[in-house]
Amino acid sequence: MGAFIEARALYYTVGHQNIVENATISLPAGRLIIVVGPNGAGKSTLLRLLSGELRPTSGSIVCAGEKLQGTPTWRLARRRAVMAQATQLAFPFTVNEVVRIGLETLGANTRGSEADAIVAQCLRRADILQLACRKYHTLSGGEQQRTHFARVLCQLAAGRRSESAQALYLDEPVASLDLRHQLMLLDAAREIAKSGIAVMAILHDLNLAVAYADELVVMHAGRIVASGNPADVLAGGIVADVFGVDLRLCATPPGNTPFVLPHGHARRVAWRLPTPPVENRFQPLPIQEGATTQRSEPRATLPGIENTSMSFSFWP
Amino acid sequence: MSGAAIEADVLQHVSGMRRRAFLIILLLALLSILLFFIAIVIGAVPIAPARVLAILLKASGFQGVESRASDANVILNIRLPRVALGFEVGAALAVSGALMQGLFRNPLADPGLIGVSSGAGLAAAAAIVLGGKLAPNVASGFALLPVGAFLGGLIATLLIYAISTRDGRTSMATMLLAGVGVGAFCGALTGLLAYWSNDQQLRDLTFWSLGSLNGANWSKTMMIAPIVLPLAVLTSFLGRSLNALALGEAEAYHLGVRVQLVKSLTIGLVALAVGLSVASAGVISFIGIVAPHAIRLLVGPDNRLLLPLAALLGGALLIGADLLARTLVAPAELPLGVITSAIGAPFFLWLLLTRSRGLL
Repeated sequence: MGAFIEARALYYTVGHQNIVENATISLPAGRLIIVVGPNGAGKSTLLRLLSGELRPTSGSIVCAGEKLQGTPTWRLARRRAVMAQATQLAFPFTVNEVVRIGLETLGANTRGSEADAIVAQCLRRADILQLACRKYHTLSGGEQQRTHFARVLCQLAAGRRSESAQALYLDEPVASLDLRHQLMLLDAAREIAKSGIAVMAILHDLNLAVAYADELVVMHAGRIVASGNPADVLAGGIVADVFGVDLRLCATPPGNTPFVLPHGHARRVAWRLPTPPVENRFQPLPIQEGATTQRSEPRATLPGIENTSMSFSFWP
Repeated sequence: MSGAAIEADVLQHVSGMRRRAFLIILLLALLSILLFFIAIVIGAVPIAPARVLAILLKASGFQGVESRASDANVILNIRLPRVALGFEVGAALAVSGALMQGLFRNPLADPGLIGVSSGAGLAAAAAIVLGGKLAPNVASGFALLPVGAFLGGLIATLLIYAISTRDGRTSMATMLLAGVGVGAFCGALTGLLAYWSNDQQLRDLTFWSLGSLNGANWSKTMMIAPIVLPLAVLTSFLGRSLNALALGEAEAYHLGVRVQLVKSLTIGLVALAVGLSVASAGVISFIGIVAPHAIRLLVGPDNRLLLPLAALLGGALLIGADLLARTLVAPAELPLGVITSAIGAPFFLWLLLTRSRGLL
């Protein structure tokens, strides 16, 4: 499968400052690309450039074989869905209505039981079905975020009827989610990628990023400073430089997934523990015995939650 | 509850909401028709309802119905155009209010924000106070005040639109502030004109600024129709776009809405609709806020329902208000704006107290 987006030498300049500088990135269909980097590194701006919301100062973006700039808004809306960082709703819509907006702006053939089925499936997938009749503004931040996730799923599902190449952009999608829903959302993102859609997500949790990414992109001061296989990128040591912290790189069984431990945190833990006997001193710190016996596989299924991740066929 | 049960619950809730919305559409349509008829029946010359019906039937082409010519004249050339104009103006104001609230993403927005009313007010004041001196020949005609008010409203809106649009993008926040600025300036000039005016002119100005359907005729009614009808047609397109816009401009763009087109179209339509309403009936306050909010409290904020229903309710409200205005102190007439606010405001407060759940 080819790339959904090919962006070359993107610059986005405000005044004399390059918010995004010489960024070249491609989003291949069927892959989950995760972008990390410190605050203000230009991650969100890059995402907004690729989604067509902002026009690059220079550089070219080709989307599904066409120039992104020339693609009409309605077609773009069928090709890609965007979950933005913070969304405020102006009027008291219910959750169900908000999710439906994702379907209804795309075209006329969005009525009847078929549309109801898509909406219900997306609500279920975002684990927000039980709150579907509630007013959006009475929900907690995480529940609101899940509502928007259901909305972008709806948009993708509706666009899928006419477009074969699609992308999903997620800007800090797990920022206010609890642990279970963080995993649920990233599981869903992986499955969406597996169904042939290019997925790009911005995350702050390096361990989640490493666990889920097909490709890890590191941004710093507007530039893409590293990209590639997550383990290789981490091993390159650039992440510690970019964030300006000391990191300890470990591996978690069973798959030896790389695991990042911020050093300052480790030191604090060590300070609390009594000094170990000399012969134990060089044991690797983070892999404790308990960790190996616990369910440590990050892509955990969610037992007891009907229909959320088992036997899931994404598109109706 | 299991997943399937929850889903059935949700579907039931949704279909319940749809049934409710359908019921409210039906009730509002019935209310409008009823008020329309009552407003035609009641007036200075007593004409029995059955006879009114006969006259209406005859006028619409039915043979074999007898009626007196003078009664027919009163109904067809005085009351009917007045009631029709009232409905159009009410509908136009209510839809404009709903559109402005959707566009500014603010439940307090009203058409006055884009300067139509203040521009029209200034032009009307100029026509009343200066018209006689500067252009005595034109002023004797009926056209100076409405045409001036219409153009004044349009010019003020264009000015505000131009100020707040840069690189082909209109900033709604700038527009709000520009509207305040232009409004203050127009208000100052209007005040200056009022200071220069004599007693009769001041009286004319005051009455104009409170609104009236007095002097309605078929030509005025027909003048507004070409704007009110497109509003009704465009509501399905604009309704969907405004729903997406409730999530924010960036989100609306991501959902395929051509945001700038929607903004320009909405502002243009509102300026035309409100400009024509103000030109033909003066400034009528509160319909643009009360009608959309009442509908939002009844059926929710979905703009595809809100826009047509607000039009129905606005039209019905204005017919009712006009009926009161011309019957309460008959044979004199109260200013229409006094009635809409005096009835509209308590009704609005009652709605807030009884039905409001959370934000508007």
